[in-house]
Amino acid sequence: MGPLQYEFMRHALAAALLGGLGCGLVGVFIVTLRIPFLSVAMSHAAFAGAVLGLLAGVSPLACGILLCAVCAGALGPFADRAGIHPELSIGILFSVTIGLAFLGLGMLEGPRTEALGLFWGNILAVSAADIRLMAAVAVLLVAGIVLFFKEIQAIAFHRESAAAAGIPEKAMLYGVFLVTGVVIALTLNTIGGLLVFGLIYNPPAAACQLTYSLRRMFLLSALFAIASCLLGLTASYWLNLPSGAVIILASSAIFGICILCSPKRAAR
Amino acid sequence: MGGEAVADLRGVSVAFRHRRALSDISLSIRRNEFVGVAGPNGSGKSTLLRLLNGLVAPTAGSVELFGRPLSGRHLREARRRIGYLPQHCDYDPAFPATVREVVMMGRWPMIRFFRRPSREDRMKIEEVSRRTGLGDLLGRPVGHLSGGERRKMGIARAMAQDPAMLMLDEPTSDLDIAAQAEIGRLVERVHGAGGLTVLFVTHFISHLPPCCSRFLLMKDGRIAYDGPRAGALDEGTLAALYGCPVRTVVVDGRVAVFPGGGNGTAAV
Repeated sequence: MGPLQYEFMRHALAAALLGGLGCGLVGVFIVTLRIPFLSVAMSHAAFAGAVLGLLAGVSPLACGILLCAVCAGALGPFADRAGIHPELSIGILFSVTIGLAFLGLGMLEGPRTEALGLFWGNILAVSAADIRLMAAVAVLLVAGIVLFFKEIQAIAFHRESAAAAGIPEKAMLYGVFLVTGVVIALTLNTIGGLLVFGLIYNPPAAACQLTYSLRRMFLLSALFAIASCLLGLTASYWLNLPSGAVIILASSAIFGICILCSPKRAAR
Repeated sequence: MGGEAVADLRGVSVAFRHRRALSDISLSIRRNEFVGVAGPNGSGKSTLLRLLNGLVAPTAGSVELFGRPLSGRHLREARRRIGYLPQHCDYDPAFPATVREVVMMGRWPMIRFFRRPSREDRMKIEEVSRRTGLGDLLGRPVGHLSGGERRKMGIARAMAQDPAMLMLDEPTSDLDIAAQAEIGRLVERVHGAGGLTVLFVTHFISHLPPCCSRFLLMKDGRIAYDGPRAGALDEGTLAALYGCPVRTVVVDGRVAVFPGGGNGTAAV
């Protein structure tokens, strides 16, 4: 009997596949829209929400998702109304959420093990309820990308041209903020708030080295992120290493290999 | 000037916070006109184009496009009929797309949500690419284009919309003289095919092709001159526009404007 005889390993495998898929796909938005700071800010929003949830004695995951959704919903309109660049509004959001997170940490009583565990996650401790939620979000994400692919492509290429041609660019962008927040919140338990942005940047950056097609970039990025998660899971089970750290190191190694093998190197 | 009005502006002003970008603009642009819009930096040329495709809203006055007010449901319909090349087409050269895919983005406003391009859409792309001289470049990644080729791709994308009005914001800036001439010939060719209204914005009057029949000179958010070529090229008019003495030289139907003029010399 292999490790899959254990229920926690079956959950961990599902979390690796679904978490990798989600992060790999939203990472393409982050890289092509050139808003890398968004994933950092969202991971801290998720962490702050989870810590506040622990403080209030309610589900940390639900609170993490809620705060991410609130931040995502506020980001776009705040940037538009204040007349500032979205990256700057993301930076302000980051300051607020990290302040909230540390305020919550400071107010927690006891050893704070559960809260600190959200920093680096543990893929072996994922519950069946988490898996169901991750699966639902992954299905919605894949469906959204397939159905709105041409609009996503136009906005990622050039926002002003897309808006001028009548594509609802703002609604699509706010949707990207929201889905990024939710996916990141869902990976807090598995990968951890401190490490998740490595899984958001590295796979799409690696995929971009190998293709000139956005469709293939989505596919390759999801594959690389899933492969990183599976490597992290394996290392965690067999070598007793922290899963989140191995996942990020694996995704960084994949990026390194892709940049060395990139056909685009010759064109640079 | 006869013919159907494509755009009608009455007493239009646009203000950004404490800065007024356009002041009390009234003008009518008719079908098949080639309008050259020139003026110094910050005179409101780009804002005028952004106003006409609804990217900025008027703070006073009324805007009608294709005979209907530019608002709500009609805005989206109007945008589909306007091909627009923005001033800063600063897309990421690493963006994973080929020229064919970018030109195809011009068809997206005509294709409903969840639909894919039809055979007619693909044929339209081939036809537009032939007309704009992009035929051999369709399979090339966008990061491998020169500045002139990028502008041609932007014009092809705008033309793929089958527009009633083509708005080009500084299509020749930052290009060498051969590329400037090529873009000028291309715009003349697409306008010469008939039925298309062209608004060509430039800092440099010398970049306007000889077929430009109407000159709109702007200063401080107002129209300083609106009329035929002869009056626009008057040295007194241009000196008042740019706030310095100028000399003009006409060569093969094109005009070059030089600063100075006090000593009566000009070099071509």
